[in-house]
Amino acid sequence: MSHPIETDFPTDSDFLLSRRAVLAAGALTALALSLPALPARAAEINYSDTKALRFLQELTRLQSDFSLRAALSSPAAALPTRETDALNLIARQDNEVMRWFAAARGKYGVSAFAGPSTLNQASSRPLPQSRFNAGTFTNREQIFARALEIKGLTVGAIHGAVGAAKDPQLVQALAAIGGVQGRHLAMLSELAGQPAFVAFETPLSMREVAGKLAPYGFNTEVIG
Amino acid sequence: MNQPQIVILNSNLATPRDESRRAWLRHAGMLAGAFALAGTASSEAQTPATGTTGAATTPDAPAATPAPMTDREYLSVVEDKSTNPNHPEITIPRASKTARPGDVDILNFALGLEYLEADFYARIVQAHQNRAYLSPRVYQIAQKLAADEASHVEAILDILGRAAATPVAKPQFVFPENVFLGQLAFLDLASTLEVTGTGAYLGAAPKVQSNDALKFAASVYGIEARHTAIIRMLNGQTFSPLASEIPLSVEEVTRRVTPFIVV
Repeated sequence: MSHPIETDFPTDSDFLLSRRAVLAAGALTALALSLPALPARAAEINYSDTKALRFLQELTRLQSDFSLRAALSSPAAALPTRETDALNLIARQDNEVMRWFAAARGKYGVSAFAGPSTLNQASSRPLPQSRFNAGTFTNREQIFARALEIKGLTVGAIHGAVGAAKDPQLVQALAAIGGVQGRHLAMLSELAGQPAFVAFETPLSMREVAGKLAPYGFNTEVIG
Repeated sequence: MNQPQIVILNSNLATPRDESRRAWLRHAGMLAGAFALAGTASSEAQTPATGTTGAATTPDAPAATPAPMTDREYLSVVEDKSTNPNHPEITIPRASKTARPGDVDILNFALGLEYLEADFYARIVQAHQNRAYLSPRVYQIAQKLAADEASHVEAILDILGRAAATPVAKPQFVFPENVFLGQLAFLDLASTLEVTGTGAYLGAAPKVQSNDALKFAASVYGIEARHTAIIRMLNGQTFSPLASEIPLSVEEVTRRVTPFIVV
């Protein structure tokens, strides 16, 4: 399998799958300047950080897919400009975040694949990437209901990861992304006529989020 | 470079607080590692906070012992979330007594910012009640913001109290008069304050040592970001210009908020 980014990685599957695998020299794709700098590669890869990054990559991939489908759906075309603009902006930024996590995982050496699939650590069997599969959108209410649900879970998951991350740079990077995801949630809530914020964010565990997103196509195997 | 001073961690919660503005700026200086205090500040001692744990005592004369409550009165207090901080439905994150000395400084710095925001929105709400100048939706948001920021203040005081740490005294604040007269001026300043608060938390995040303090800070930070989005939206601005928030240094945060702190 060819990698769109790294081409000189070792092919030893054990090496690739090892949590403490050290990346071979290679440049990662430069990301948009608006995204936080990638966390420095730790001398010893922390399992929690690694697992969180793997999980968040899949989560943001699902979310990005959903956001794009929602923004391009037939009901979305009939929405007021204000709502359409918001959905388009959210979809664009969700896509940026998804690509950031793909690159961040490569930085931590869990898997060099920034492409279509992740690897099951036990079997090396490629895992299908998460795609939103809850069908098409028939009306505005359905768009916003799903958007709020997925975005709420994403915000909770990222804040959960912030609290668990060991690498201080990763803490800040995740928090930086989580903050904007919260902005998305606030705006979606506002447009849906719901309270835009509460007093405190609630962090969520990876397992809880994975379970709730499984019906939408989230690949729960990524959390082991 | 001055050595950063560690806030005294002791159980003597009756120790008088430091003077307000200087105390908050001192905490900023500790975090920055080198900050020269500008001007002279008054040295009025302030009464210590009682905190939500109720463990502290005040030097004031003790209040008269209240008459015992009837069962109905007691139940009404217990069931009222506004009076019972331990109500089972309240999920304010509570840090354990593991806040490290550095975390105390960070939390006190955050407390200063929360004091600022809480005072700002409370005054805005009061100003509108005196002379209606905000649209109904903006006023509604201002009320919610005032309540949320007050919750943040209480939560930080609670955490510091549990860690037997001395909270920084609440400074006195001053805001431009036009924010109490015009909606646009209010939204402009609110946007600045919220972005500053969001950036402050984000800038401090990598420095937080204890897990509990980090989780708490993250729970507050996330809401500050939501505040920013709604205020920008109300102000006709893009609610999310970038895909990630921008962290701010202590120096930058201090520069932005110092004009609002009374000497």
